[in-house]
Order: sequence, then C-alpha cells, then structure tokens
Amino acid sequence: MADRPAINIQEATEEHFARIHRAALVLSGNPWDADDLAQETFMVFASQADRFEGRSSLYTWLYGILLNLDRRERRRYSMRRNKLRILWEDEPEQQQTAPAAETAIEVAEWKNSLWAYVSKLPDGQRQALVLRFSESMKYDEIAEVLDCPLGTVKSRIFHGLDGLRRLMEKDGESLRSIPLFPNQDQVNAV
Amino acid sequence: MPFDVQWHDDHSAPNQPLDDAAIDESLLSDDLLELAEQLGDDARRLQSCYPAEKSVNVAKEAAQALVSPVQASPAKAPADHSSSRKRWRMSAMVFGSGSACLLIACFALFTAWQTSSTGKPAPDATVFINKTLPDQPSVEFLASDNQTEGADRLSNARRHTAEKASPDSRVTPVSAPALIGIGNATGPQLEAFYDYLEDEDQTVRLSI
Repeated sequence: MADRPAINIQEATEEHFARIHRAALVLSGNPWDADDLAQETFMVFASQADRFEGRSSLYTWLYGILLNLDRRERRRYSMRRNKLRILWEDEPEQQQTAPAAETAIEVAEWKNSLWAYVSKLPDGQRQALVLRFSESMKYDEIAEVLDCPLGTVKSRIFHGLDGLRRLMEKDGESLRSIPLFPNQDQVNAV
Repeated sequence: MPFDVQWHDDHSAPNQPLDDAAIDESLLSDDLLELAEQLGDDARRLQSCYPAEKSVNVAKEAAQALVSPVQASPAKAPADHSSSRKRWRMSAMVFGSGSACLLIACFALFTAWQTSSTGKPAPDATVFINKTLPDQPSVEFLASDNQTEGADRLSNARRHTAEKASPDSRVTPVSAPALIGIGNATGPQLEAFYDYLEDEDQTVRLSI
C-alpha cells in the first residue's frame, strides 16, 4: 500500500487558494461569502489533510470540500429562511411586508451575469456548470470532484445549459440583452 | 441526442490527447454553446473584480495555526489536543464559519437574556446607521476608509445581527443584506434594526 503523500498546508494554500476562491465567488455571488467559503474550505483541508490519499489531485479534492460546504450553506440558508418566514407569519399586529431576511447580499457584477440565473438551477447542474465553465475543468475531473459517473456530468452540463436557456426565456431575456458590467459606481454599490 | 458513446470510445484509448470536454460540447447547439461561452466570460469578469489576494493570507494563518500550534508563541500555543481545539474554534469564529455554531447559540441566548432584562438589545459595535433619510428605499453602502475593509465589516455585522436574532428577542430577524438588497424592512422591523446596530463610534456607515 502506497504511503500517503506529504502535504505542506502553507504551500498548498498558497498554490490553490486563488482558484478555490474564484469558484466560491461564482457560487456564492459575493466576495464576502466567497472569502468565508474559501477560508473554511482550507480550514477543513488543514484539519483533514492526513486523510488525503493522493488518489485524486489535491485541487480536485479541495473543490470537493468547497462544494460540500456550498451545499451545506445553501441548505442552512433555506432552512433559516423558512424558519424566519414562520416567525414572521406568527408575529401579531405587525406591519407585514415580505420577510426581508430572505434577500441575500449580492454584488452587481454577479447579479447582472448569467451566474445569477445559474444559481436557480438544481445543485448538481449548478456545480457542474461552475466547474466546467468557470473553472475550465475537464469532464473526468468534474466527475471526480462530484463523485459521480462521467455520463452524469455530461447530462448535468447539458441540462444545466438547457435549464439556463429556459430560465432566461421565462424572464424574457436573451443572451444579448444581458448587460455587460455596470459602471464603477454600480460596482462599488452593494 | 447530445451525448453519445463516441466519447467513451475515444477516452478508452491510452494517452488520449483530445480535450474530452471539447468533444461533447461540439455536440451542443449553437445557442447553448453561446451560453457556455458567456458563462466563462462572466466568470472571468467577476473574478477579476474580486481577487483572492487579501483572503489568502487569512486562510494561510488559520490553516497554519490549526496544524502547527507549536510554531506560534509557546505561551499561547501549548501543543496539547484541547488547546488545538480551542484555537480551531477561535479561528472559525473569526471567519464567521459555520463551525462556530456553538458559540453563536450561546451568544444568541445571552442576547435574548439581555433583551428581556433591559428591554433593548445591546448595540452592535460594528455598524453605524445613518438615519437621516429614513424613507429612502435604496440603500447605499459607504466605507469611510476603504471599500474592502468596510465591506468586510458589513459582512461581519450582518452575521452578528443574524446570530443575535431569536424568537425571544424583540429584534426581528432583519439583516443588513436584506436592507441593502431591497430596502423593504419598514416600520417596527427597521426601528428594531436601528436600535440594534446604532453605534456612532464606528467607521462603516449605511445610509438608508
């Protein structure tokens, strides 16, 4: 049985943090959550580095951690949102508007990009699209990260793109009508 | 049929040099290919606006503290297992990570207790709310020193606020991003939020 590869946490963080942060940014839609997601990915990595067996490349392993954390955060967010809605509806004698806490923080660049539509897709499709088109990973690498068969990756990417097109059509958007980046004032505004 | 067995045949050959993904994507229709290209362009633009340089140092320090406490100050970092766990907890809390759930729960309970005993929650020490334009629905975020640092503080503040919200508290679960997003927190919610966050000594300002 081969020895586990020795991992230098500092060097690995230095080498891979930027790409993990990049993916986290596209997944979360804002740099603050991206910071948290990426940092937590490396916290998990540091605490579990001795479990890395070297059967996959380190960065695909890190992507796997990132996507698990992303799924967990979205699940928590959804549960919290439902709980808050219940609290809100039970509140007597209140001026009722929509529960404001449902609104996630977003940045204009993300909101005006196709990734905002991607965020509405099912988790599997969303993550496959991020790995393929944001991270330019090959299909077999994506299959490794998502721990699913190659055919499933292909299917998720195809159906993800198709779903994206349908979402845009539903909103009356065409590709060319999606604005490019806003001016700097809008960039600075949250 | 968008995906056929051709890919598998090609892939089974040893040392296959072809770009696997390109094979499949060549089977996509033009409009889906255009979407795929646009996704890549959008990702690159977004990522160029928010590089990871600043965040990487925090991650490196935290990871280092986690794996090798003996390299830090001896007085602060005994190498036993319990201290390592404490260090991990502290780092996780600094990042606002989900791993600090236990601390958050304690904090929420403390806040609920404080609210019930004083009738008003303690002010947040991070954010100053400018109430001069209370009817303005859109919210502009200003940082007095620099955008990134202010944004970080805002991020911390919103987590802080969310953590403090509890069924027993008068504070309804309104968070800074909610206010920023659509400005639809009005009336009692907004007042509770003002009460909650008001602290004029701080440098991050929200104009509402």
